[in-house]
Amino acid sequence: MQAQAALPGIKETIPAQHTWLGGVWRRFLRQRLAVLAGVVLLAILLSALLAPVIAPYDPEKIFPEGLGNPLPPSDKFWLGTDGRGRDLLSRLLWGGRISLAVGITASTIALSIAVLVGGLAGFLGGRIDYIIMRLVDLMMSVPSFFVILLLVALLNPSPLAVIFVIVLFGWPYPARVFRSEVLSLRRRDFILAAQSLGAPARMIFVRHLLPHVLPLLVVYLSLSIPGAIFTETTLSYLGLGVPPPTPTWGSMVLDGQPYYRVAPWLVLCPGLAIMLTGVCFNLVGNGLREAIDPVRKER
Amino acid sequence: MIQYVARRILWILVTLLCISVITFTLVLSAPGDPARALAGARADDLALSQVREQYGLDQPIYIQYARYMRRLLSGDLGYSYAYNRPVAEELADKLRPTALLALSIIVVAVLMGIPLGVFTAQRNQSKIGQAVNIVGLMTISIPAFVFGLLLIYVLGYSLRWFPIGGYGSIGHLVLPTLTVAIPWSVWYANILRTNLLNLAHSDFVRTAHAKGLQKWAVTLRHALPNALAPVLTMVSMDLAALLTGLAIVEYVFNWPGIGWMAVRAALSRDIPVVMATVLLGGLFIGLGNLIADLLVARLDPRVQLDN
Repeated sequence: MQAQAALPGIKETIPAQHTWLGGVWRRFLRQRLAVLAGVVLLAILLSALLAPVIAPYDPEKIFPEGLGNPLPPSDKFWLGTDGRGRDLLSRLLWGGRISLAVGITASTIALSIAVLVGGLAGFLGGRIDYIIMRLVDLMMSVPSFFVILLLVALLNPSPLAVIFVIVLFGWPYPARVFRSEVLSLRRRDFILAAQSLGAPARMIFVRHLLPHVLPLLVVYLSLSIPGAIFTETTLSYLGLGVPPPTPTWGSMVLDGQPYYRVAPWLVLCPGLAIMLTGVCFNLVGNGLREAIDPVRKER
Repeated sequence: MIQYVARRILWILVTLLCISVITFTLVLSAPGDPARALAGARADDLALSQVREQYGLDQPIYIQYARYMRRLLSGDLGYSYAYNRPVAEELADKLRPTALLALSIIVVAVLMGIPLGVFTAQRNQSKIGQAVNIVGLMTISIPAFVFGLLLIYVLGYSLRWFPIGGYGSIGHLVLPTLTVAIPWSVWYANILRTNLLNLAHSDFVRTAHAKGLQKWAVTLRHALPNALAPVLTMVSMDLAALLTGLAIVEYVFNWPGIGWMAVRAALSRDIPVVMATVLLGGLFIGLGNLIADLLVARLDPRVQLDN
């Protein structure tokens, strides 16, 4: 960190490894809340990933003693059992796998489409831009939840169907964001330089524009995953998502609802898991945005 | 102005046309018998053959679509075999509850959010700001169905203050309203607080201070009206979103509105009803956004209506 050949009286402040990524990382670490959220998020992701190893029981195994009356937390069942006599902790860990996998996959696909479509619209401009943006307008005036209901009523409930509907309505808004980002990048000098050097449009888009948009992609990814998890859990709660007996956080709330008077934790545990995940993703996303682009605040 | 509104309404009609094409195509191309889908899961053979005849399901697709469109334009949204009555009548019944709930949510959210925003802006130690931010994140990160069930447990079941579901009295309105209004008010408060703090350094606020006005008078008389405009923009946009976004809350509280009907129709595979809610929702969103834009242009003279 210290200066090697500083002028007398002037303290050298540029750190030894001042790469762009290093700077982002340092600025991220400076935000204690975002770091804390990142650690919690990592723990959530790991516990979901390792569910087959760390879950005490098979999430679909029925213990007769809990059948019909949920057991309270005990030594044997740390979070008790649900109304069908299944271990709640195991279901919580396994349920996170589906909810997180669906949320992360769907958001990643939706945002990749958004970058390509929005980026191309902003980069190419003209008629293509017009058509794409009208399509985005159209998608944004569709009552998405009702169409999602229609789709899942027509298709059979499955994780793939859920991912499909999330992607379908997940790309238009970010596409608009990336378009405006590309529009402002396009007028920058380095693009002009590349153009005047005779670089083909494809190369400018792939080599010069996309790398500048990618950090934004990471930020939007972590900010849009909670929404995707929301859609998944909501559909599962309605019984229109991932079919039983596979546990997901949403269907666990559905299963717990009849027992909310005697065993409110059946609803509370998966509910809190969804909330904690959402808060953490949001905090990490905001932290990353701040770290990547410290000058510009708020969108 | 009139030209602008006319163009926007034209755009809404185009959007609705597109939506109807997409939904109809979806239903026709879904796995299974489209006649079964259009008639609903409970239709008998007679109803099925009737539907085949009506929509011309044995004819080329453009004729099917033309027939569907002609029926739509004459106000026929299909027949719900689950409810055994025309879908349009069924929808008309559900409009009032949904509008009532949406309105009550907006009013409560604004009435709670504005004072909260002003209050937290006055005490802007960064700790309080951060706390409000996190609480805001928490309230919007908890799914409506979980928060609704939580309110049912605490205020409905444990304390027995309010009925836990159903429709009829003011009491029935309280829990579903709070379920949405609490997170939204925190959200509005957050935006308002940020706006107020940004305005604190502007010239007119400094002038008001220099005149010797009390701190509260500066905030309420000078800063607040300016900080409110963006919040009101959000409110009017949210109203459109509310009319279509209440489904899950209506379902949790058994509130017989449009969303409740849509969810139940989806669960019982009553496709004509779901298709109709899609169209109605599209109309709501289009009109709602138009009204929001007009309102904003009125409130904020810097906004120009064009394109």
